[in-house]
Amino acid sequence: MRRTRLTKPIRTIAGLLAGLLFAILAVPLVAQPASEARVGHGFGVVYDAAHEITLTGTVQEVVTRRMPGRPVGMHLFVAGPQGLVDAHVGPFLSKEMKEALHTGTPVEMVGAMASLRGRKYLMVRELNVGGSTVTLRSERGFLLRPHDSSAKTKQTAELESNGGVR
Amino acid sequence: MTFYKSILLLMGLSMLAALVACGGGSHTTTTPPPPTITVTLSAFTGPLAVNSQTPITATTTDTAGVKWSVTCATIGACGTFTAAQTTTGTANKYIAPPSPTTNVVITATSVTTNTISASTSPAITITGAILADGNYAFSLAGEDANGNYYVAGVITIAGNGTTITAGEQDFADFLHDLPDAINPTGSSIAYTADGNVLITLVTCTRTCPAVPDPFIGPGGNGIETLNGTILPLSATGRTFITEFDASASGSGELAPQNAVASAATPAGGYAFVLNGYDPHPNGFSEAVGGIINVDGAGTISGTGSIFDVNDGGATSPSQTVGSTSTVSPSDPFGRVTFTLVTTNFSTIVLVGYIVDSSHIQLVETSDAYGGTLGGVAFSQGANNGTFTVATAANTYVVGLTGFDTTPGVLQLVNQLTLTAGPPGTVTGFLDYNDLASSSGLNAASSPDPITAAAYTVDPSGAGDVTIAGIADSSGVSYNLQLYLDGNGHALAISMDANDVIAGAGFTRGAGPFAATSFTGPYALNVTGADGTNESELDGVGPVSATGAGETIAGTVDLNWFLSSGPTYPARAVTGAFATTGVVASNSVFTGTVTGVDAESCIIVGTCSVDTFSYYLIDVTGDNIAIETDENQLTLGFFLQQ
Repeated sequence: MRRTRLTKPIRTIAGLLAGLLFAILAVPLVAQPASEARVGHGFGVVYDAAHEITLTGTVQEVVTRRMPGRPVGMHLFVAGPQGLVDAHVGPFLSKEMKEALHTGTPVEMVGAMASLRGRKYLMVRELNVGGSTVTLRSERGFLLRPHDSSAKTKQTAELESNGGVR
Repeated sequence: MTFYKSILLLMGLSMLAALVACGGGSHTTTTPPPPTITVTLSAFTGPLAVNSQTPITATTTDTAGVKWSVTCATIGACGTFTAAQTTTGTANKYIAPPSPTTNVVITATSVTTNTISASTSPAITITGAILADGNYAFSLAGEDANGNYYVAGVITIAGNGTTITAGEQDFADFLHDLPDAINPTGSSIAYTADGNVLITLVTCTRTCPAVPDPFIGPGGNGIETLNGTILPLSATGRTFITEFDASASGSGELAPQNAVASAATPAGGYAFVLNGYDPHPNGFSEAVGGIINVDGAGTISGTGSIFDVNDGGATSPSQTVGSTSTVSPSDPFGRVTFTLVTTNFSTIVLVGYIVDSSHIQLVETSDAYGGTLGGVAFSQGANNGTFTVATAANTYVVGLTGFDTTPGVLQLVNQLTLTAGPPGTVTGFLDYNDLASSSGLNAASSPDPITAAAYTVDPSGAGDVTIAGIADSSGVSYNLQLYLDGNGHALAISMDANDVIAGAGFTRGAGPFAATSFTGPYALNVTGADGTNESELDGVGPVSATGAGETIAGTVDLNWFLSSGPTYPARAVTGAFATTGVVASNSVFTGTVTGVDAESCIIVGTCSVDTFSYYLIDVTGDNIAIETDENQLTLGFFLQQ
């Protein structure tokens, strides 16, 4: 086998070629994500709908004050077979539902566990109190604003056919 | 007398004569007394408008010049000068304070002899700016008792800015789509002591005269109260507004309507963005963005049009806009309707109020889709079809609001620098806040540097820019769509599973950016939510920034929805900003704002000092500011014109 010792100019050219090869490879590697499916998940906590759980228990404490580093809105500390759970029900509960929640209230909750700054909590999607169930989150974990459930459609007023109101 | 005595006398007289002679000599070399210093002022008369800049010149015999000062009825808020000291004949400028005042007297004092001065006389008055007569388009987005609401409309102002003679509006919240007229009877305009404008609009259901709309206003009285701050350097009366009553709180804009543009049917491309809820009864947060290309006379073929949707975290990019889509001619108030037939959604009808040739305010009205959406469209003119990766390369500043899965409301400000490459890159900074997580507390730094790989532009060149996988130091990774108009605006929505946010922004102007960029009078608009219940709050007011002094001061009229007030006029606002460092050199200043935190100011009684980042848009200091602690959600807009 014949061996060839690379002279300096040849090594330089080989180095440039290697660099060019890396550069060629690097371009698609860098550019690739843009053409792939979206890679970002966003700012919120991941709601793991595939691992929803149902918890039952008794409210030990209703916390409405702000707890820095924890999700804004009402938290229920619920004791049950699974221990004490920090259940986040959010700021948009109806007045009636807020009044129904106090220490000792039995509740059933459907949701997904999540972690924020090292603390685990239940992102409650459905809350059942006294046989009344309210949906607090969408199946993707977004909090829902309360609204008048008796209003099934929007109330509208059609414009005059002359093109506008005066 | 002896001869000897005579000699002595002669010598004495000679010496005396010599002394007298010498004395006479010294008199001729003594410096004459200095001429009396004089100071006079150029003609200066009032009244002047708030924030106006008026030349004034001192003529003085003092070679050191004069020092300038001003007094008025409101001590400490009498205005400033572009120069503290000038030499004779050098023009200075008096900058009137941001709020009205009286008994303003300007004085130029000799530097050398401070007892010599000249003052303007008689004392002048600083008046608030007024809205000129004509049609104004307005829009608001915020929260009412049913969640988010959106309203847009047009009012006719007359009587030298004191009366409203006509108008119409479209209102949408989760339960209502309400096209209403504005009743001149009961509607009014007033100007308040802080220089703000207070607009009362009495609505009529459909046409006037009729009963006030029972779904509008406190207790259903049909009355909206708007509070506005006219942008201090706006020649046309562009005004930040908020709803300032107990029925709702929202932020938006009032702007003069261009008569020619508002009479024409929209044509050409429009970049647009919408925010709100999907159809009843779901009410999932929804953001919609895209391009509407009106490529026929009132018709939309779909070519050059794009419709992207983020519906509660379910993203539907690049929906086709069908060829049966249309836009109507405008009515006498510049009201048009876009009827959009899209691939996967029911027909969406957007009411648009034409502001001018560059933009249209949008509200979804009663339609087959049934959502609750509001937003804005910016005209691309003839730019549709011309956008490329190369032409999209620029630096953009965008502010977005919406919701995420953590607790609810999310705010984000991005500075995005797009480099075409190859390889293309995206760099810049972000600040975000959702009250449980923020760049100020979670990221390695605030503003937090971000990077993303190459961006893409839609193949048709419509101006839809995809930026995927934007990452910061805290582990956040997100996707944005930008919609460009090619005229200095960038609209944006997120396309993420865990958030739904949308907003408007700008192409950042050319530098250089310096401390002095953020100088002078600004109108401030803040919008956000408190830290406990996420109740909406909005405020407007006049503020001044001192540039190298690195401070801001002014007032805002605050509406904290669902609080006991809920309106709180003339709250003092102060702030500070650092204009040095790496981030500042990239046109992002960091600092504080004190006075807009609703809970600490109103309930506790002592305002918290909140941390903010100011993202500059241009060299005149216009910027989008965001609160980066987790005390409250606040997005602030400082604009001059």
